[in-house]
Amino acid sequence: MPLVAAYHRPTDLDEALDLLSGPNRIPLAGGTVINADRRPSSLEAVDLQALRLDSISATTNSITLGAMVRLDMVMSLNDDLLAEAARRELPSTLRTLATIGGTIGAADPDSLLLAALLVSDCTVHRGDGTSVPLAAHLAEPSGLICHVTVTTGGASTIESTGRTPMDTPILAAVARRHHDSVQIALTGVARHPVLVDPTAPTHELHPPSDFRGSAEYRRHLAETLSARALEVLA
Amino acid sequence: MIPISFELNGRNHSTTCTPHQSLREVLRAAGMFSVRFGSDSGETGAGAVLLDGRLVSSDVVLAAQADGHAITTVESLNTSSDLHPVQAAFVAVGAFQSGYSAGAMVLGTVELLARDPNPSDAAIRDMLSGILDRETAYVKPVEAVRRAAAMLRGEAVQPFAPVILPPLTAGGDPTPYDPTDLPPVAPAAVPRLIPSRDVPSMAVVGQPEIKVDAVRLAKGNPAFTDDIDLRNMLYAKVLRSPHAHARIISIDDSRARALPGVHAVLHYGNTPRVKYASGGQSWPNPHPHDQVSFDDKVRHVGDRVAVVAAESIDIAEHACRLIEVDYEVLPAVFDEREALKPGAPVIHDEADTLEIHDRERNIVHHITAKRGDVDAAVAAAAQNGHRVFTRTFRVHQVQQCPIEPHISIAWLDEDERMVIRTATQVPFHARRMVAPLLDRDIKDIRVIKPRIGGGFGAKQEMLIEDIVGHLAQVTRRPVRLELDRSEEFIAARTRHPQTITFTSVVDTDGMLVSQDLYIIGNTGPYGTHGYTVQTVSGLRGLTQYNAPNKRFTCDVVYTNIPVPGAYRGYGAPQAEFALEAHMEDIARELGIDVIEFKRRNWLRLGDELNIAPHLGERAAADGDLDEYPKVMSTGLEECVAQALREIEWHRRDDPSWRAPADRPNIRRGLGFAYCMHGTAIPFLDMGGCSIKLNDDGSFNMLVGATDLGTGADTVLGQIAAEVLGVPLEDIKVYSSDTDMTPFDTGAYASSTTYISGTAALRAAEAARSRIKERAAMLLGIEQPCSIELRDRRAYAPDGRSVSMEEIALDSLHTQEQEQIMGTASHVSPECPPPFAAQVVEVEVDVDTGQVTIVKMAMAVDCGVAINPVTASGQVEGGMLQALGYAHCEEYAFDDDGRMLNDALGPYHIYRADEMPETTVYLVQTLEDSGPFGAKAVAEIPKDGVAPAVRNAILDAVGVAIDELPFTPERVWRAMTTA
Repeated sequence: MPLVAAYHRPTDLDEALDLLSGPNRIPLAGGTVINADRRPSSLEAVDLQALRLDSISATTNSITLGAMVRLDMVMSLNDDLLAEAARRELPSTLRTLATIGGTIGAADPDSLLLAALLVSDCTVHRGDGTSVPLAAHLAEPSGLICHVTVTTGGASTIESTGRTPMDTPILAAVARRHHDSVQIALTGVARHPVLVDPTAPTHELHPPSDFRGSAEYRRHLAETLSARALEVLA
Repeated sequence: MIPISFELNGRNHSTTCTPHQSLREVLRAAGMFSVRFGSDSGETGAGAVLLDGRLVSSDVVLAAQADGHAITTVESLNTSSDLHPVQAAFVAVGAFQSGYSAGAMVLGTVELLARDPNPSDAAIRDMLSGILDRETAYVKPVEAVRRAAAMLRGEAVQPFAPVILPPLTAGGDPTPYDPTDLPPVAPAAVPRLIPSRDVPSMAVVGQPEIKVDAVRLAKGNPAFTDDIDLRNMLYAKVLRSPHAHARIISIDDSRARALPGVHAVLHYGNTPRVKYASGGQSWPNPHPHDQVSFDDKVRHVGDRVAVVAAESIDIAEHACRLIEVDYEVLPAVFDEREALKPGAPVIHDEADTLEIHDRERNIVHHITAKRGDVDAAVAAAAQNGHRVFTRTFRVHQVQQCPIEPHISIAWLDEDERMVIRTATQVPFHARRMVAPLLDRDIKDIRVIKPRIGGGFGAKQEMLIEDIVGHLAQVTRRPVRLELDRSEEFIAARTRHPQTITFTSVVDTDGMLVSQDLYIIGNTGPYGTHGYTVQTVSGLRGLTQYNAPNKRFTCDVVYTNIPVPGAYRGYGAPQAEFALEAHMEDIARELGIDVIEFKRRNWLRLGDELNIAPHLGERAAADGDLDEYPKVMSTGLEECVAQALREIEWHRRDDPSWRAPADRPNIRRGLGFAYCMHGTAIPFLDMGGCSIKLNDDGSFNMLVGATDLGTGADTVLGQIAAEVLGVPLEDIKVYSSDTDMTPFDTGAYASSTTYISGTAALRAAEAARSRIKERAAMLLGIEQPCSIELRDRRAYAPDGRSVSMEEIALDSLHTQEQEQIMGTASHVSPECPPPFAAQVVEVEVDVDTGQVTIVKMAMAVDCGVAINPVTASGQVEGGMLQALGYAHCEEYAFDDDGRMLNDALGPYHIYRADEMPETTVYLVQTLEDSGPFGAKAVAEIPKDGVAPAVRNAILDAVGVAIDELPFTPERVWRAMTTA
């Protein structure tokens, strides 16, 4: 999503949806992805900052996060998994810009935060009033993300392998246990993080190869780190 | 254009911007020069500001997004000549080297301490995680934040100074390791200094003086190349090759030229073909001269095709896309081992590149040097009961990654001379080298080097100065060219990949009989530093151990990778990785303790550097010399003792430590590497200095030496201040400007303190001599030599004195008026080696191959550290870069030679929140040939980390890995196949 040709800042959701219905329009959240790409284009940015989508509300077991909630705000949540995933997602000068909505929109295959949202039963609520599970949204993205709801609590872990401790993991297994049920999401194995069967994490998995890790190695990591996550949460 | 308005440092600021203009660009246009460019993606954090109180990278904020918000830059703190406490804390502990990202670090600290007055180290490192630093290893910045927090809490802070430790050894003899002797407890940022009894206490030299440029850096004042505004400036953009190897059949630039705002388009069709070699080296530059400003052939992805100068960078980029280039794509080769095989593509087939050793095999240089008879030693090994060990290593391509990219601005001055303001390590070489390309005399060119935001060898090159020079001549307007981060990766300079084979013969006593070193060096498509880097590999690989028979053979090979060049360490890190790994393996094979085996063979005081004179640009032939240079100072045994204590070496023998019961997938190991480097290039490196006395008794010191952030200006000033008996604040250092300052070969080869420092010493001595004569006149004394300068005064033996100011006023205004000044230059016949011991602690995940570096420590004998704080900072930063070389950094390419990770995220350089514990020891020795006993310190920290990590992995899991870097999959595969 390269450098923008025009800039809009709608002040309410209807105006935003109207603007986004035009050709070559993209929603602009924090900007850490869109604005980092300096290739010129005919895309027009619709900045969501004035829509008041940065609220956080919590119940005993769930939290609702506005799409414009920044990652540094997620770090302050009373949920270890989401807070740690947000911290590891980006360094200090970028996580103060990046948002939940932008993270979902970018669908980075290596995103720890996306994986953490996946194992938190994340539901995406869109501007047209529809709500879908995050996994479904990632598989078929559409509409403007307004807020998300996640289930919190329970034990959780992030098991990862990277070149260095804070490098984007080559592969990570992010897991959360609710009662007797464990969910595991893997990064680095598909075009976006995916939920896998904890007992057969590489089933129908076709990881990519790149300079950081071959497909064979990623399959090995998927097995190893998933098993490790289950052991931690056992 | 979009009208925007925001609060800037407490005041309303209204302006206009384009839709895609970044906040950083708008802030710099508003004069906020502390907000600096590191990358468009915001990863460097050099452009970080506070947005509504949050630390954000302004690179990735559209200016339009900032409309209605509050922006704070470090300029907001500069309300008086005093420093803000946070700025003062950074200055006090030497946390700024180049200071390129100083504004971001200060602002981040202000923000952190506002919400957490007593932050943990983890919180400090987390704040710094978004501000990349290639210079400090974050050690002293973390200490600066701690100090600032204490100051703001109202607590007293002590002056920042080294911890003084007693020696563990008696001179050059080893001392038995004592596992009960624990390392000293002190903050990591504090250098551990082990003084030598041979070194007297001095007033300025050896003291942790504040850097002379500290205030300008802390305040973010305009100091760097880009920190000027010139009227009618044009902006340049280079069109780069998408192919690794191709002939340009034709270029049609008509559409680009027709674009409004375009002022020039240059390419091979309209630029003189003048051959040159771009490596910033002394005259005459080594052949072959295999480059021209624009060629009709491209030899790597990212090679120059054309350049545009236009009214804006947007227009220049647009014009580049309008240039139509017809390429004939040619086969390419990337691996040095493939490039010299018959049938490989010939990379330099043009007739006008001369002195290629074997053009058809892409061998640009074939280098040999020898002592004794290696073949005879190998042939006789079996009958003598000697063992022969052979091992091949492969080292890879990495980048210097200075946070400030290459940038040059050129214009014609009022006399129509060419002025080039540029981020260079070699201003005088750049002037000489660019002159023929621009068809100008050297006297018609002035090169100005402002502050530099890190170089590490990347800027020891005449890389883009010719481009802005050509464009300024054609357009007669100022022209600015700054590389973006991708261009830094693919079109600047890198470290040479090599294939290295050592063959060593060892006798029954564990003594080396011979060492044979064969290197295939990959110099990419151009020679630049190819000859000299590879000779240094030979020098370093074959010098640090004694052996009567030595041989170096090297083929320097052209390929189609992005161009290697100078990178801090300059061939030593490659060779020392292979050497120290090879020696570790031999010791294990022989069943000898590794340190004992190395000790039997390493150089001692008085030993000959027996192959050094036979390598280099002015090498002697075998048999030409009656006498060889010798080691005249070494603190190696003390370094080893301190390093082993620091890393608690005995833990290697503790099974419960090696395999922790609570972490069954983890194995721990410790690794050691012995390091030896050089100090300047003998008979070649030269520096000049002039010093003049001012009315108030202060001095202006002009040096050609190039401070890249290393603290060179401070160190040279300290040397002069010590001689002249004044505090450092009375020495005003200016460097370097080819019109104003004396010549200097530049900042490379660990030469500045030793060479330029001796020039400063001698210039100061010349001035001191005349000052004493004038003082003698004023005091009525017959013998000026009896006068002593100290505390800004000249003292007679009877205790009477005159102030430096009185001497200055007398000499400038009163009687027999004269300008007291001293001028000197220095070239050395010596190359005294610094020595060091490097140790590391690692954890290896046996299931995944992930290696975690837990701790690094280096003990360095750099002679007398003129400034122990800046010296330790050099070691810390060097180890950080060396850690990246060993552990994670590497160039990745697709099959067509396109770099896959030409951004700092996927390339990955170490961040503050993942650095291992890092400790530095400075072991003092007195090197008689150096100024006040100094040797080099800047490059030796690059040499030991990779082999020490390799040996630690071997210690932990028993696999010897001979290829860098130690990425998880490489280690996992090694364990799987072992």
